[in-house]
Amino acid sequence: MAITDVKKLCDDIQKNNNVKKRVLKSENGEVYIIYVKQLCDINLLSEHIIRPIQHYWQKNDNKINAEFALGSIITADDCTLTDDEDKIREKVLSGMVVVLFLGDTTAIEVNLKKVEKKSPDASEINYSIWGGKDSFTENLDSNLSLIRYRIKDPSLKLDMYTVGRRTKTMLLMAYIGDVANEEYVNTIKKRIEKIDIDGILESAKLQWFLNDKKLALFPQAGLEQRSDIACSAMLEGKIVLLLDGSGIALILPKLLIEFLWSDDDECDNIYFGIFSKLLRILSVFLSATITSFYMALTGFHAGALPTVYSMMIASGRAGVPFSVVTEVILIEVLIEILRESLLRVPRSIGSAMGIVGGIVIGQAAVEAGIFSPVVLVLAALSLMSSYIVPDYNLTNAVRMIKFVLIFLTAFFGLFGLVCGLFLLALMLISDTSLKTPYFAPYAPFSAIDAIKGIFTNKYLSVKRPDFLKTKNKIRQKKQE
Amino acid sequence: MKRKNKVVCLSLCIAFFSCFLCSCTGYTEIENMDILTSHFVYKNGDKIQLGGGIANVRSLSDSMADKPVSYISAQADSLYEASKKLALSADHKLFYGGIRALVIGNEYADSGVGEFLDYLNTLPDHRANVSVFTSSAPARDIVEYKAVNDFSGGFAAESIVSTLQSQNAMINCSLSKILEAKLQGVGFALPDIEIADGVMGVNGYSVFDGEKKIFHIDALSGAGLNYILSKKAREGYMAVVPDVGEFEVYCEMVKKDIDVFEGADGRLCTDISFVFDIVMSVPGDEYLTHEQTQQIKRNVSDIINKQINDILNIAKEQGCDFLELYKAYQTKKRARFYKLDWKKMISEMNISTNVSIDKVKNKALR
Repeated sequence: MAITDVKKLCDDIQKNNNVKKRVLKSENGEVYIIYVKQLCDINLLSEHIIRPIQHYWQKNDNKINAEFALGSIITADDCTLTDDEDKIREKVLSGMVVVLFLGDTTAIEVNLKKVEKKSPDASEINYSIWGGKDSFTENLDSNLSLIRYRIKDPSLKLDMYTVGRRTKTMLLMAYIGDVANEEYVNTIKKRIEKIDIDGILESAKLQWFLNDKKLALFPQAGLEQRSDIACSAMLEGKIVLLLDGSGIALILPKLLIEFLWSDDDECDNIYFGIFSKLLRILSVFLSATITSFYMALTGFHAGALPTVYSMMIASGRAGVPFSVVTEVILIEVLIEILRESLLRVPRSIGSAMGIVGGIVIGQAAVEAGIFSPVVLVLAALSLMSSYIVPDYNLTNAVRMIKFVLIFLTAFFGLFGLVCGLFLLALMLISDTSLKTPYFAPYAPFSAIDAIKGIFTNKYLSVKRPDFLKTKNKIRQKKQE
Repeated sequence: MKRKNKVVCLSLCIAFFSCFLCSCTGYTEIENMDILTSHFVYKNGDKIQLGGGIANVRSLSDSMADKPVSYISAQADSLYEASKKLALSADHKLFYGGIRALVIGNEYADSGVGEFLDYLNTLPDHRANVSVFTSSAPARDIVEYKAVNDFSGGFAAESIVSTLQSQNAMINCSLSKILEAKLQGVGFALPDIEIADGVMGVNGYSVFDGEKKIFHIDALSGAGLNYILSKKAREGYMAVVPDVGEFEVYCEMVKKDIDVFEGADGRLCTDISFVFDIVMSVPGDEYLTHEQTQQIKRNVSDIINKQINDILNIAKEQGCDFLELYKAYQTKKRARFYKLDWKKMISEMNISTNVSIDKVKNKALR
């Protein structure tokens, strides 16, 4: 809708209490400046818009309009002409300054947004020994500069979208044009365009609109706070999404095995890197199955235990009032309560609570004969093993699976556990992340990628993995 | 069918079958069972005494506990009745999966162990790799023996034999081996345990033909059995060298070839050849001469040859293949084996042995 009456438009927008209107008057006309005080940098407004206009009027005696002012008076760098009243309303509320000239049908939008900037800090959710310490902040511009700072490639594509009917949040889709699979880009574009919701305020919440399966147990997108990892993912042909106001990047696609790799694996000694990877795979398996396995052996298949172990376990359990199933479920629930409560309390209280919880659950419960020492050790081992996974998102899925396996084992013994693992394998094999098989390169099996995945790192291999179907397969030139 | 439906159907099938294959009824907690660590049977007069040592799990948590294993026993006219009585006298369900040693009294062994083997086969959770012994001492004494570093006599007996086996000085016999021998209709040899002067030890082997004990081999004559049955036997001897003295010599088997075949006359031919290394320690400044070394080789090979021939002759005389010669024959002619009267073949077999000494290592030389 074109601008017909500047005064009416200004009054209309000003109905919103937060919007300020500044009117500059002279014999040669009136200029209306509309902005949200909290979102704009007042000093820049004064320096680049108010002062230049007043200075011009002092020296010149002619009327000015938007087009002339844009070219000759206003000194701000990010400004555009607009003649759409609806857009003007949106822009003002999003923090832009709009300059209207009485009698003119066009206005100038000036970007003088003031954002409370937080300097890039070390990541809190993706800890690393070797990697970069600058993580994304809540400011999209800062995040963009971090990406640009790391990747100077002209093929770097930065597509901007607006999501949220009411929040109008900026969403940045970053990828390397001549590497990323075109299908990934198109799929994400389509899914973003389909988003029709009041607002999305956090990148992690964006995954519900981009995942292949809405109710999947295992995470299908990586959540990353560190800019170097996001850039590294882009170099591998992945798509990175950054939402304005969120300090977390969403990386798509992300496959199961990638959740177990840490950036440190590529920095450490190659053998230690391999050892760490294998240790994480073992730990995830232990975390999900160890208490179920204990239950199966003590409750159903005691014959599978060596005699001395069976005597030791029986001795530990003598006097425990609960059945082994109840004992395992109780200890696991108790540990989950402790874990959850520690997450929600301030850090200063958390450490104290951790000590109290540890002592109560650990020492006192065993001494009181509520739990046997073995089950306590196994539950603690399970908890610790679950946190060895670098991505917190996968940890939660593993912990959920653990409870399913415990219940299956409680009913069917070792057979139930094996069936549970079999169903889990089926589920993982049938899952996808951005239409890429979630269990790749192990299902569908690709021998080279499967071996490379564990026994080498990307800086030692020439090609990118096949399952990502990148446009450019070659990562580095083969060294002579 | 859609993939989703397939997964659902498959899950339901697995859940359905799992209900039948392994239902909740198999659930018994480990502390609610009496864990038998050893099981014994012996003759007490005309009666059969059956029992074992039960892990005293409540006292295990107490580091000062002096009785980690309790004794349980039942006496009856037959093994069947004794086993029923034993089950009735246990305060919890008996758990046989923890048995480390099966001890058979010699008198009972003389009368035949077939019924006991059948009984063991019917036990739930029984382990095929459990060690089996005979005992000249009352089996109860073996179970109740107070070992220094073991929970009970059963554990101690198993430890003694497995330690000797790991040093290649003895062969162990598991329940699975006995059951296999029974199935094949051949004999087997069990370590014989005794308690002499309050100390538990090995007292040779009890040789069984089928189900009955037929012969006892003392510990010293057991070397020949060890050479034929173990993979790397090791035995010690005293070798005398004129003008020099008497030396302790250890023989380590490095190669063994057992060939069992039917000769032209239809008789079984058993060709066995061994190669040994000798390890000895000759102190002093003067080394042994070549001739003296050769003499030691001859002495030792003669002793070993005699031991092997003695044990083979026992098998021949008794018409009992407790030396597992049938395995060597079966590898070549399995179908033929089942058509032969193996006992007769063993009692008429031709024996040919060859023992040679390869290296002589003097540990005193540096």
